[in-house]
Amino acid sequence: MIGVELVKMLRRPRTWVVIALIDALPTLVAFLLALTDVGPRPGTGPAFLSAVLNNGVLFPAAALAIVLPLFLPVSVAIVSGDSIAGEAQAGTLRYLLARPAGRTRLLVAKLITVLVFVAMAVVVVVVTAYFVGTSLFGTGQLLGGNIVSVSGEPLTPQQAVLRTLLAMAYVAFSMLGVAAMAVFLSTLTDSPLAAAMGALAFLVASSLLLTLDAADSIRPYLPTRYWLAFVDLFRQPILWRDIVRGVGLQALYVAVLLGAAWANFTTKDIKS
Amino acid sequence: MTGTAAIRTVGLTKRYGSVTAVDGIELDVPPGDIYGFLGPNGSGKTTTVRMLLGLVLPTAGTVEVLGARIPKHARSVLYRVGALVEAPAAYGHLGARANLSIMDAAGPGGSRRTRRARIDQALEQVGLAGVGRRPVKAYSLGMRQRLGIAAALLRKPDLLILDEPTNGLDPRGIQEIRQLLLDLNASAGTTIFLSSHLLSEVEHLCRRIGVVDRGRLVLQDSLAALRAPTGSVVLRTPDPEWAVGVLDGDLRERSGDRLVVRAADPAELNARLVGHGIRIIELTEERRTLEEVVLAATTGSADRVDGAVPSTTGPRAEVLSNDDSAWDRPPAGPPVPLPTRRPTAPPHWQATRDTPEPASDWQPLPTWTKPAQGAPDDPAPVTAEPGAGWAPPPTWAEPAQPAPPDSTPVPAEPGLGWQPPQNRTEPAQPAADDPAPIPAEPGLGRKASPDGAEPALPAPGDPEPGLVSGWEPPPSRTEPAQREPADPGPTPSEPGPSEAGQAGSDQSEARSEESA
Repeated sequence: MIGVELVKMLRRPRTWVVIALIDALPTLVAFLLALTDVGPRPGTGPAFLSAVLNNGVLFPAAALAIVLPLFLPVSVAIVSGDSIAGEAQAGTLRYLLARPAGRTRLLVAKLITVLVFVAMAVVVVVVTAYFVGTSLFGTGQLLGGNIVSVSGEPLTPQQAVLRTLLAMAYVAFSMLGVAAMAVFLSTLTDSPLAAAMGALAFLVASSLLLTLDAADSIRPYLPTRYWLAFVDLFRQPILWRDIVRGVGLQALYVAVLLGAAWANFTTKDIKS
Repeated sequence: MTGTAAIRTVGLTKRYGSVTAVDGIELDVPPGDIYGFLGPNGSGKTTTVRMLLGLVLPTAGTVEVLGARIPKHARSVLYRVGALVEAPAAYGHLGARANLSIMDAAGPGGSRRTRRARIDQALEQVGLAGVGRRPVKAYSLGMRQRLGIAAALLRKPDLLILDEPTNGLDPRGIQEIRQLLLDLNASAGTTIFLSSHLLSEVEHLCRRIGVVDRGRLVLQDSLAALRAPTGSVVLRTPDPEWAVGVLDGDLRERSGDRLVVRAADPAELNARLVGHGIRIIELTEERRTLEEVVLAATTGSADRVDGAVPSTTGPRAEVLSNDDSAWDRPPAGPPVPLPTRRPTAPPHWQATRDTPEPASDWQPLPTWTKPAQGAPDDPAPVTAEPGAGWAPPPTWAEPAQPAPPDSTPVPAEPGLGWQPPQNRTEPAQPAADDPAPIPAEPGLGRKASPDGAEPALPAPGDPEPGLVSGWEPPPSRTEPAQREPADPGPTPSEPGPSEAGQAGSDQSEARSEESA
C-alpha cells in the first residue's frame, strides 16, 4: 500500500514541478548574490546569507532558511491536502476503500508519502544549494577551510556537514505540523484546495500571532514558533533548548491532528 | 438461503440526521444469482450499495457479504468482490494498465506475479485490449465505463456489485457487457448484484429483483414469478367484431383490433377462434411488464422525487403523480404489442379474481336491452358488416332480437363496459347496469395493491361516483378504471375500429364530461 502511494506520488508530474519550483528560489538568490556580490548586512535578511559570500559551504543552510517560511509549507500543504480529498474528488477513494485498502492503512500510507515528499524536497534543496554555493562562492579557503559559525567560533567542514544534516532533519520535522493539519482537513472535505488553504491559513495565523506582543502568552505554543531554531544548530556549541522545544511542539501537533484525522476518517461515510 | 448467502442484510438502516435514507432493508442474494436492485433515484439504492462495500457505515442492522460481516471483516472478503459504484474513477494522468495495476496492488488478494496477465485478460474482456498507454483523461465516457468494469473483474471476483454498469455505453456496448456478465455468471458462477434504474437492463439480465422505495425494500421476488402470465391473452385480429361475439364474456378489454381476453390456455383460445373462422394476427399471453411491477410497488410521492436530479426520475415522477398521461405512455417492456396505447396492467389483477363475474352479470337480459334500444342511433358502418357472419354463436341469439335491424356486435360490447355514444349525455344508466368488470377496477386501483385484492368497492350500482372520486388520488392504478367505461365510446362512433391512437384524447374528453 505504501509502495502504491509512493509510486502514485512519484509518477505525478506535479510532484516534480513543485520540487523544482522550491529549488529555483534559493538558486536564483545564489546567482544574484554572486553576480552583484552585495550581501545583506550581518544580522539582516535570511539567516546565513551574509556569511555565504565568504564560504559556499554554508549556502545549503541559507537555502533552507530561504524556503522554510513559505515555499516549503505551501508545497507540503498542497501535497498533504490532496492526500485524501484528492482521491475523494477523483472518485478513486471509494474504489481504494472497496478494494479494500483499509482506512487506517490508507491514511498511514498517505502520511508516509507526505513525509517522503518533504524529505525529497529538503534533500533536493540542500544538494542543489551545496553545488551552487560551493561553485559560486568557493569553500572559504581564506579561513583555512573553516566556517564561521553564527556565534563566531569556527566550524570544521565535518562539523558543518553534520550540522547541515541535522538542520535538514529538523526542517523536515517542522513541516509535519503543517502536513498533519492538511491531512486532517483533507479527511473533512472533498476539496483538496480547501484542505491546502485551510492548512495555510493555520500557518499564516500562527506567523501573525508571533509578531503580536499581546499574544505573548500563547507564543510558545504556536506551530511556527521554533521553525527557525535550526539556526541554533550552527552555533558553537549547539544551543539545544529551542530545538528540543520545537521538536516537542511539532510532535504534539502531529499527534493531536493525526489522531483527529484518523478518528474522522475511520468513522466517516464515504459519499464521494 | 443458507449461511453462505452472497449478500445478506438484516434490518439495514442508515440515518443522516433526521433523514432515514435506508430503512430496515433485508436483502437476500443467494450465491450464483443475478439480482436486480431497482428503485427511483434517492430511494436509498446507492447508500445500500455503499454499505455493502463498507463505505458507508450503517446506523443499525448488519451486512454480510460472502459470509463475512461488513465492515468489520471487510479485509478478509472484499477483495473477492468486484465493484462499480456510481461512476467509474481512475487516475487521469495514467494509462489503463497503470490504473488497474495500482488498484490491484492497493489491497489484498491480488498476486503480483499474475497481475500482468490478469490485467490483460480483464482489458480483453471489456474490449479495451488495444488501448495502449493513452492516459485515461483522454478516454471517452464509454471507455471509462469499460475500464471501471475491467477493474471490477480484475481478480475474478465471486461477487460483482455493479451500479449502472452500462451507463455511457452505446447499444452495442450494452449488449457486449450484458453478454459478458451472463457468461461470467454461467461459467464461473459469479453472483451479480446489479443496481439500476434501467428497467430493460434488469429485465434482460436478472433472475431476481428487489425494489426499494423511500429506503424500504418493498418487493423481493424472482422475475419469473413477478412476470407470470396474468391469465389473459392479448390478441389482434382483423375480425374483431366476430371475435367479440365468439369470446362472449371472456373479453376483458378491447381497443380497435386488439382484444384482451381471459383465457387460461392460449392454445385453446386460438383453436376456438380459428374454429370460428376468425383470423388471428397475433396472440400472446399477457404478462406484466417489469415497469408495471415496479410502478405498482413504488409510491414515489411527487415532492420527494421532484428534488432529485435527472435521469429516469423525472418521467417516473410524472408517471406516479399524473394519472392519464402516465398510462397513455407505451409501456417499456416488450411483451405488450405496442400499436395501441391501452394500459394493460390493471385488468390482470382483476382477471385472476373476477373471472366468473362477468358471466353472472351478463345473464340478466334487461341490462342490455337498453343499449340495444340505443343501437338504432348507432352509426351503421361498424355494426353492419359483422352482423352477417355473426349469427352462429348460440348465446347471442336472444339478445339479438330486441334490436332487429341493427347488428348484433353492438350489444356484445356493452357487456364489457361499453357505452353507446349517446350515453355520454346520460352516462349513468348503462353504466349502472353494466356488469362488474368496470367497477371492480377502480376499487383495485385505489388500493394500488398489485395482487388486486379488495373487490369490495366495485358496487355495481354506481360506478360513476366511484370513478370520479377514485381518480383524484394519484395511486397509479386508478385511471384505467375510468378509461374502461369511457373507452369503447370512440370505437363505435368512429367507424374505424383500429384508431386506437385516438383513444387517449377521447377518454379525457369523455371523462371531463362525466365528472362535470
